Amino acid sequence: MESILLDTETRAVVQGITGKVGRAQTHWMVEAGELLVAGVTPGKGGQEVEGLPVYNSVQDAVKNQGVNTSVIFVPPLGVQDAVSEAIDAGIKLIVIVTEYVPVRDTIAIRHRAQLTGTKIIGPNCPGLFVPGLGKLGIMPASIFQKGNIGVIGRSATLSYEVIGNLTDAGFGQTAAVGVGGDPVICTEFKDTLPHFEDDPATEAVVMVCEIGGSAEERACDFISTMKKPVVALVSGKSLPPGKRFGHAGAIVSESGGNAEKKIEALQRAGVKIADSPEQIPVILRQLLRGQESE
Amino acid sequence: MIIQEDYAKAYLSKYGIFTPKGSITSTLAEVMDAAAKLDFNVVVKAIIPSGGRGKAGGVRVCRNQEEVETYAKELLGGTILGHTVSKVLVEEAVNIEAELYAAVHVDNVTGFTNILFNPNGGVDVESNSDEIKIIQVEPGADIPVFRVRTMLNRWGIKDVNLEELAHFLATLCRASTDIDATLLEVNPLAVVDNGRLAALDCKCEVDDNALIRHNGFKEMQRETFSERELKASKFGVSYVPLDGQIGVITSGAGLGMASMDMLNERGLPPANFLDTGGGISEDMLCQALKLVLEPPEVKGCLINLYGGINRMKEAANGIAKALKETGDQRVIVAKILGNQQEEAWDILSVIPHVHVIKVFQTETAVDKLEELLR
Repeated sequence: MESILLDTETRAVVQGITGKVGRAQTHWMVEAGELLVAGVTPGKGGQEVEGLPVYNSVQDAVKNQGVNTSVIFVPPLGVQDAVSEAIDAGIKLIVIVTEYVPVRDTIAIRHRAQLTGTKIIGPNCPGLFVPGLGKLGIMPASIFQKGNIGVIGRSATLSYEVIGNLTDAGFGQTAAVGVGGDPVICTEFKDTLPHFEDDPATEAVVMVCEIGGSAEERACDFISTMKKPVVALVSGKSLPPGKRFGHAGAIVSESGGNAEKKIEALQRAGVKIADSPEQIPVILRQLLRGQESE
Repeated sequence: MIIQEDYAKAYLSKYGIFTPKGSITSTLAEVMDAAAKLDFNVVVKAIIPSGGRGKAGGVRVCRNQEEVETYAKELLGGTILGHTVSKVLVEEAVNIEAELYAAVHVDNVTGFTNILFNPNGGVDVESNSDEIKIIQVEPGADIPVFRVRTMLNRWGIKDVNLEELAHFLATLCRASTDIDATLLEVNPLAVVDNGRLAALDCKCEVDDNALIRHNGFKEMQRETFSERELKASKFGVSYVPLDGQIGVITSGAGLGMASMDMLNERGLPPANFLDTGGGISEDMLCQALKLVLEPPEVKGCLINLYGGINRMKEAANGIAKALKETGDQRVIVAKILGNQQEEAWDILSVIPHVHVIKVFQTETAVDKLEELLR
């Protein structure tokens, strides 16, 4: 079975599996599916966590378990090294959940990933969730339902609220991709939308956007070529410029990032704007009904 | 975080960049003492965390004791661009032949480290922005001096020692990388006696996430926090003071921003915003609620939590504990969902002025708050 970024061939390793967060999240990832096959913590090889064998290096995990994907929970200053190790071991998809990674480290990671053709999601992201298949990251399984809506979000908690509202209204999901709340992330809206456009099961895509940066604007060229409808929620539109609201990336500065400009650009590209999470299912119902009658 | 000017200059001087002699002062006596050592031929500058200081009257050249005293009295305790001046930098005055502009910043979109140069620097640099020149440097890399020199020649830069300027720009780039600066700006970069280059002002912004790997910065950051921000940082959450009347606590920034948008739309502007992040515990929520209810202008509070792995029972216990300890009677609407939600609802539903919302729609919580405060 193939889906967004993950499939039944996915064999994932948890880097930082013996840490407090890594261990707790491994429990929920194992409960949500069968994507995990191993863990890595240097010096802790030979242990077991949630029934998964722990190795000293990603290379050992590749050799013994045929690992091809990694999800990273190591502390912020160790992330760049952990990613390098995974790339050197031939891993092709990496999810970085860790928050507070220095921006220059992320830039170096993104640069290296581009050179090696590695797909990296994050940092500071809740990861990937595919209902019916499993998850890499920290999104709560209880809010999901299998269906035909794709969700891409910068904010984890707001994405949960959006997904909860979708499920409540009877709109299940094909997959959710949490791209992350930092000013520099390795995979953004424009890189993620094509996966949903190409996915036969996805009928519409919801973007969970927020103030700061210009990732929404950069996605518009692709959106205007899309056949599937896109609905977006832009949060932070009532907030004053110059202040940071929790996410390092969510700041309106002199150089841009304000909500009006994002909304304008998205609307020009054909995106329908929702004013609140509650409105998203209402708009989707209109859009998808419209399609059926065509 | 913005690094104070004197620290930033001391940092540059480690790289062999020339900066005027100076000292930080906070009383009139200290100013006069520092100025006397420099023969009262000094520049007196207000230390504030903001650009545009020169135009706003925060920098003055003084030529004698009276000028220093008059100006220092005016500055200390005064207000520049909305900031109270509590520190003043007293520096030797240098003879300025020309003012240039140089900066290094990280371009988040391309990932390049950009060296910016403008042959016309000083307070009016923004109006000369079309003259700005850019050199892109690979992420994390140094730039060889010859390449900078080649660019300066290509741009036709004249009337300045190109060898020294090229060396300065390459060095500034290296200094910026070493300290995890997101912006390192020298304006003016002055041509002083004998064509020598001097960094007369320096604005340095260091990536907050990288403070931990540079000695002393974490402590410096705490000095810049307000009392409530400092309290929040001590128990591991972020606190943003705002101008309205509603206290806001959410378990994430995005959910917080969406909640505040709804509150603003209803004419219930937030007084503050506290983001708990992931590590919710009873103690954290107790301290968080006390902090958010501290400002007297707070009329009511919206708590919007989602517990993926965080146990919401602990959150509810924290809320109950804070209210019991303070006896606070203000209206609280708490939307709590996720792990252990039923236990959390049971704990909170017995407190008369706490109203529990059990659905996914934040609008429902805002509706309730509006109704209760009307």
